[in-house]
Amino acid sequence: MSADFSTMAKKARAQISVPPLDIAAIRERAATFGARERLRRIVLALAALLGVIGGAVAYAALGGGVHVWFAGNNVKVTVQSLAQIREPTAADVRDITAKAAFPIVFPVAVPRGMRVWWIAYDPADSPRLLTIEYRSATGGSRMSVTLIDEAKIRSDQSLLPGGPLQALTSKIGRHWQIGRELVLVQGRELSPASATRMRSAMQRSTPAASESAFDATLRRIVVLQKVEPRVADAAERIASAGRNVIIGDWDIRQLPRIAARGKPLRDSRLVYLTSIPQRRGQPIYRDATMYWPKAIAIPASGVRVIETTLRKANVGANCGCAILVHRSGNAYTVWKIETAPPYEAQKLSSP
Amino acid sequence: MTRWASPDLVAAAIAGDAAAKDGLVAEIWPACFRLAASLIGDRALAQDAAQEACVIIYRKISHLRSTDAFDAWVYRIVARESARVRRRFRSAETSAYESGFTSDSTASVDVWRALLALSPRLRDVAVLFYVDDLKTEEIARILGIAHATVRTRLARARDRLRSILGDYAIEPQATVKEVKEHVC
Repeated sequence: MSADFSTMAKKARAQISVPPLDIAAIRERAATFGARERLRRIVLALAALLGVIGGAVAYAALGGGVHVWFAGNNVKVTVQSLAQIREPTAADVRDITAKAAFPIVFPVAVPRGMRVWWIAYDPADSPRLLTIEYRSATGGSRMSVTLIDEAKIRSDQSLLPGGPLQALTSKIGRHWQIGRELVLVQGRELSPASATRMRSAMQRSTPAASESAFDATLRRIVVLQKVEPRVADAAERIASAGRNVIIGDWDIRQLPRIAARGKPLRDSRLVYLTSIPQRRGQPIYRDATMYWPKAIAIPASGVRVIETTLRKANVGANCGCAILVHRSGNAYTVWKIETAPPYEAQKLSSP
Repeated sequence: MTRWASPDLVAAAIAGDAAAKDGLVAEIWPACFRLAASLIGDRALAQDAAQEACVIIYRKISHLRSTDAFDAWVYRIVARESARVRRRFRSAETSAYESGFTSDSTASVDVWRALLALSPRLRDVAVLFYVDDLKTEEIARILGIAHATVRTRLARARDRLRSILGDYAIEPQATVKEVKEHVC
């Protein structure tokens, strides 16, 4: 086979099929980003002014790697480290609650259709600040709720503006206090009526009751990388009780190699970010040191079973599907779920 | 004429015409995606990188001073976003992923296997040199590395490619391009 490599490579590139462009999403994201950037600059200037004139109304917080300062309707947060878990399950939340440095009252009565997308918390070993990001099934609507140990905020005045603090600054949005917990809520789609409902419900609730109610907004299955929310919703509808994991095309592609090596499939939802650098007062998360704990989503024996099942059923990474795996003891049930409406499911194997 | 889009469209987008910005992103999208896919070797990650690049281009095109700078600017953004996505998904299990590209041509499959066998640093240089026909000085500017480093990486990439694809004619093409660069 003699051919010019450069020519062949050009031909090979031209043969790559291109996915459709979602110009509306790009336009929207560009607009949102621009607005956020402008707001950040305005508020940064405002906060600096408040730092000079508003010391009396300001509070500062130091909790592990996170610094929080707020005054009036502005909040500044700096983070040197944090832990983030994507699409957490109830078990993941229990783990966070058990470690938390304060009794957490979780958000309740959140707008219908909102599900928890990720939770970031800091410090990782004893959280004093949690940010819960919600999104709708289409991903079009988002909301974030930050819960801060308020007792810590009142105890430390050393980080007021004018000190060494360089911080990310943004509008608080809406905020209220429940016991020793400060709640900050941001979301363009959150109406005043919805915010009032959330506030009243949280004020009536207790840490234990709110945690139970919070479970309804969490995933019941472990969602590994690259699975659309609506596909995960479809998987949840057919998942039976027990350990369920859904894997997308990226992981499906890895399966043969991982199975051949006798390795387990890792659960990469939890990541620790440390040494988050800052540039002009803004954290640069992408340059942080990242660490994934070696959690196992599916053990090596399960990977082999799934890989064999998919091979026999002729299902590969380009199947346009996600794979739901249910584990009961050492027995696995494998489902194939289409990634396009109506998200049809097909059982590929039973124990 | 720019490599990515017509100069008129780029000029209109720089001037702030919203329709032109839409048109520009639509026009450069296939090339952005294919470049990201060549650099990353994974369709899903390439889509992420290309979308991020398009958001940045859409948002910052009005900051560009002239249409002449457009090509290098887009290359820089796509290369940077591809590297960022690659870094984000770097783990023990992702070092030798399969490309997932579909092709009827055995030769194409061989080409992708060879490129994916290179380390990301060598692959970046090899892709920009062999597939995009960029000069080594341009590659150095796009990747933000020294010219000498580009030449070293290119030599290593060539050796590695030659060992994988013994009977592809890699060297003649490279030699002609390098001679052209020295002459020009």
